[in-house]
Amino acid sequence: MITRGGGSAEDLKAFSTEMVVRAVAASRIPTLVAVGHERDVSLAELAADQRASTPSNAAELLVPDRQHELAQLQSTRAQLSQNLNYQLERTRQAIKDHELEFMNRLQRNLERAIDRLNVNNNLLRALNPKVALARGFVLVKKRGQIVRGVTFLAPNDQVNLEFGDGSADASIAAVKEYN
Amino acid sequence: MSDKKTYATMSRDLEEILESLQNSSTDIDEAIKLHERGQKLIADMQTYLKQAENKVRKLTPKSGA
Repeated sequence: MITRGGGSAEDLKAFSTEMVVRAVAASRIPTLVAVGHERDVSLAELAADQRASTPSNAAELLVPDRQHELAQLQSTRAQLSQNLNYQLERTRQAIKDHELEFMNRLQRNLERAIDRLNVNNNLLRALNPKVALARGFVLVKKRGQIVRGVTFLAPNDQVNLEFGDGSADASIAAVKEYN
Repeated sequence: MSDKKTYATMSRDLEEILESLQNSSTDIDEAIKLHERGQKLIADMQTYLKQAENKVRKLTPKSGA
């Protein structure tokens, strides 16, 4: 830090000499230059890493203000906790959304399975062979085998007639084949 | 019911039964047996779905929670 209080232009001239300005510019240590009053601008100030308007201002720049720093920390802490809360809330909401989506899919799959089962149930009912017997169709068996046409029958064959509610034995009197 | 079949297996069995019942070469005795097996399968499947429904209902979060 290079500093000097106010003075005449002559007094401050040294801070604008090439040697000083180059030394300030070349410094590997960070430089802070404050020369004279606010209105005085020396070349060394322009070459410095940081310029302060007055020596008092330089002191302020060098030493952090405790109250200000504390307030800054407080605000950073509040910001952090606010961010954390926001993230937490978002994650919580995301989990809730996923859960809902999962349940909806489960529900949809279940409904699909129920619909399909109902359709198959109706189909099975329609395909119930006993329904045909109840409607008056009769199953004819000869020696335990289903007779699928008159070509399998001859007069005097003993047959068994199966109804929905029971069976009867019968004898074939005659056979007539349709063309 | 005693042998724990998966729903998919029961569903496949039922589809096969329905296919056989629609096949004209399936004789009536076989058809009656198949039909009875189909009825039992459907009852088992209905029980299965009912239980699944109850489980889903228990899992479903209360609205507004």
